[in-house]
Amino acid sequence: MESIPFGLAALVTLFSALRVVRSPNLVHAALWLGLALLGTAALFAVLGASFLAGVQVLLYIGGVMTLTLVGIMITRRHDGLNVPAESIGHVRAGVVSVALFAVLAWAISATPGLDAAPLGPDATTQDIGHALVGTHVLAFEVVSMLLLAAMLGAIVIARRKDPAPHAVTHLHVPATAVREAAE
Amino acid sequence: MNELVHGALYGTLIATAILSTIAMGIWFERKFAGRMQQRLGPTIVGPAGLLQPFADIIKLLQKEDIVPRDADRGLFDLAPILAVVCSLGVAAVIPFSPSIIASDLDVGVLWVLGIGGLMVIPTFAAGWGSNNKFALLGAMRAIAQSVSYGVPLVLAVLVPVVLSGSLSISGIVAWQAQHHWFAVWPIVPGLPAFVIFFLAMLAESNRIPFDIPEAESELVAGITTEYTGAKFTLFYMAEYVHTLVGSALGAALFFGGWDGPFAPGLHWMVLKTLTLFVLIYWVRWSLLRFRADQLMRLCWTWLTPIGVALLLVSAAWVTFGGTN
Amino acid sequence: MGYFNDTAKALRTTMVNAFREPVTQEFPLVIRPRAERFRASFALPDDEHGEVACIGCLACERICPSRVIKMKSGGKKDSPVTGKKRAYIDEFVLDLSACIGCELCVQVCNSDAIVMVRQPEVPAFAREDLVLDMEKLRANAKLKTASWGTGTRLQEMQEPPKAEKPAVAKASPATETAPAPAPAKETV
Repeated sequence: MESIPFGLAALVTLFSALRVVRSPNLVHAALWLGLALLGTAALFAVLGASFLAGVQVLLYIGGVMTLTLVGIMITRRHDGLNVPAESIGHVRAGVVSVALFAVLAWAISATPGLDAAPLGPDATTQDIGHALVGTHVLAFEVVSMLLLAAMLGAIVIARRKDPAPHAVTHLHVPATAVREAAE
Repeated sequence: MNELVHGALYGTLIATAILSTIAMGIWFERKFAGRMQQRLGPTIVGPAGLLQPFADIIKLLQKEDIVPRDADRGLFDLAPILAVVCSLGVAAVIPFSPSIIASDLDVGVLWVLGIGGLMVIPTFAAGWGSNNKFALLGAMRAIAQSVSYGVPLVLAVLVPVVLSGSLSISGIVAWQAQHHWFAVWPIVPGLPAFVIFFLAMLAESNRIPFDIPEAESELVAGITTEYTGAKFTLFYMAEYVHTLVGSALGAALFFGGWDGPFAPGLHWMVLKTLTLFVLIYWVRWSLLRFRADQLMRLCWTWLTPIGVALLLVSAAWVTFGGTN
Repeated sequence: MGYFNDTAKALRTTMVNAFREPVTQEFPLVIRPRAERFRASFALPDDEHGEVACIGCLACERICPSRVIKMKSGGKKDSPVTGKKRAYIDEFVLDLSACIGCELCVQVCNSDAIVMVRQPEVPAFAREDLVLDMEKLRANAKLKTASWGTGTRLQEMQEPPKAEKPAVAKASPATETAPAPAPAKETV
């Protein structure tokens, strides 16, 4: 019974993931990405990890998707609706994808304890919270430091560099003053 | 399977109730707005204009469906449907009484925030798909606004979560029924958190004074500029649904939801929801629109820091045992 | 802080207003009394013999600033009623859709043949309904009340004062040299 929703969610995810890479229009690709992420969230939900599903929707769709869309809207020069997504180097990309798939498949199959029973509905949000700030507190803190560093880095990169003595470089003389001096 | 049937049944019921309430809400808003301006409001259709919403809807549905020639047809058609789905979806986890709830999710608050955050997608699809400069500008403003106000919204919603120690909305309501309403006690993180929630909710549903995304005087109608007929109706409806569901959420998170003496829980929940709904329209017809920079300043220099402080205060309240 | 005060003030104002009696008058159901000099549409009244008074002098057609009047003179004929010779008109069309209601046509009419009527204009569903031909204009004269102003009355009202003015001027010798030239210029 559970395999039907799982299969549906997986199908939607795969299909939209394919559309992300195949879509010639960048905006469409971004929106298909949203559906792919939503499908992943549905997979989590079907598997009983509702907290993960919620966080997936909140962060990936509410955050990452939105930023992608804003990025497209602001940075792309577009005449009309067509925002082409060029894809170059199909062969190289294919090689990299196959290699990545192989590595991931090997890593997953080599991970011990995968066939253990799922945590099931007993794993409440409270347990996850306790685990995060209890057992795994070091990893949690390291991740938060990483995010902080990333944020600072982004601010440093985005900050406009002022030309050092900034009044002298752009000495502005009104045109009328020049004309008067000439006369 | 039983749960599925229960969810479908109650979901349908709640959605129908919300949509019918909205029809009457439109009548009420027009009447109320009229009285505030010493006008009469609708009087012709039905007794006291009560059938006005139906006249409105019939009029809107009759209109020609116009699609701009260079529109992105898929996105253009999808956006209004998604808008209604996203705004109605939030109602799934809101308890209208101890038993009337479509789906009692363990992570209800996350669901609300996540689905609420999805509103960005129809906004973008409408703005981009219309291929109209006003629609695109409206969409950009709406996205900037909803991303910004998402932060204080999350912070404000986290206050009841921390105080009650539950991520499920029915759990939060049950906790309030057992102890006290958060807007009343503890008053320091509770009431200001409610105010921030209320403002952020107004911003998320693009209501005055935060309706910069559809500012008529500068953007025609924002993302709905190119929409007509049934699709426009859907957007119009989504906005009202958003407002009503937001009121229900506020009532559940801060005013104890179905908790109240003398009457069944449903009555209290409806009363509280409608009170907040009226409050929204009172604000809407009284205040002026913010400028875009004022909007952002209010969000980032006032609401967000205050929200963080309130979160800390509520954490301290729980830690030092203020609950009991 | 001022913003909070203003917000509170705005909210209070609207709430107080919400419980006041609305000032709206529901127009088609309730009609407020119209001013005495209210006038809207036009009419071509008959003269005292029951014939149309217009003699087709074209004065109104010429003065009309928006050129909404078109007429065709019918030449001189013997009147079937009185037997005297007088001028007639064949066609008279007034396009209300472009009329600005300046009443100049009434003012210049020496035979009091066009007047304005006091009933409000009736909204029309087609543009053609706003074009008043002779038939409609004569019907208006029968069905509706004419306003006070007719050509002769208006001209008389606006005439420069004749006899009394110099008498007043004599009382003050300083102004004798310029006997009130200003009103004289105003005559049409």
